[in-house]
Amino acid sequence: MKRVIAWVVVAAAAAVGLLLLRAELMTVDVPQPEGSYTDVVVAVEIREDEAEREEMIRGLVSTCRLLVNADVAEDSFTVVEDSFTKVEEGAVFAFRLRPGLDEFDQRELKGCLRDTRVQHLLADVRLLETVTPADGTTDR
Amino acid sequence: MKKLSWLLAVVALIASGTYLFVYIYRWEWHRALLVGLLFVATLVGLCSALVLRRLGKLEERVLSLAPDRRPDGALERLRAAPAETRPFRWLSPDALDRTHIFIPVLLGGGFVVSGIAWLIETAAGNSARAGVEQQLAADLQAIAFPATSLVPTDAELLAGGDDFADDASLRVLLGPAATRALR
Repeated sequence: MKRVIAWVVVAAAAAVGLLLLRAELMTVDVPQPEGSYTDVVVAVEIREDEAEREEMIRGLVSTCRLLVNADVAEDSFTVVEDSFTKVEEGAVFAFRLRPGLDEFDQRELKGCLRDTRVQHLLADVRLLETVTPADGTTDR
Repeated sequence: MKKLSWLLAVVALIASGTYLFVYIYRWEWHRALLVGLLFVATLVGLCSALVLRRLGKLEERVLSLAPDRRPDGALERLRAAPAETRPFRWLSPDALDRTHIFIPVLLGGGFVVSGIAWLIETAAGNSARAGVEQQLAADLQAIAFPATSLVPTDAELLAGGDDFADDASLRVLLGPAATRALR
């Protein structure tokens, strides 16, 4: 009897987990106001030649932005300084995406950037912020 | 050691299952795929180990329940039994209509036919060789080199020089090659 109860509990937990996961992963399209944009800052670690760092992260960004239907704003891809964390120089990049991403797209983009898509490249998302100029609010 | 293996397998199963959900929740699909593979492999290994353990227990129970009815002395009975030796069983009359007689007959037939062929070849070679050699010698005779030399030597040319060019006796001595050269 105890074994049956244990199996029922495990099955119920798995079913609830799957339902919650399904609810979380549902694709919901929240329209963003005109002129909104999303700023992204990522810290990058690579196991290749340092000269290829920017090329590799650019490749990853160009792949991930297709998932959320957004474009990298022209000349927005820059190397930024990070004096707060122990990251080597030239390893933190910032770029801007247009149009701005809603909450679900932000989650998808963050997962794509942090995933192991590119071999020998690990990216950590430091900032992912959507700015809507109309009311000046930000959506992190 | 066995308990430690079970513990490690269960921990790996729970951890990989948890991370599978976490990575899917974070939209990190590549990591989720890798952890999912690990989860499935651990699950299959664990289930196989459970089934094997259950089978082992069943086998032990069956062996413990069954009485040991096997009599002793198998070696003595083997030695006491008459040994049956029947060499060339395919030649026995009751086996002649079977197909396994075919292979020895085929092998023996091939041996006999090969011997006959060797005899025919040897006889034909010995009888034909003398006539063939005679014919070949006659053919070669027609194209053989002449017995005398084709060109005169320096001594013959010197001997048949200006002063003795018309000497018939000297021409006989020098031979046809020197005579042709002097002309």
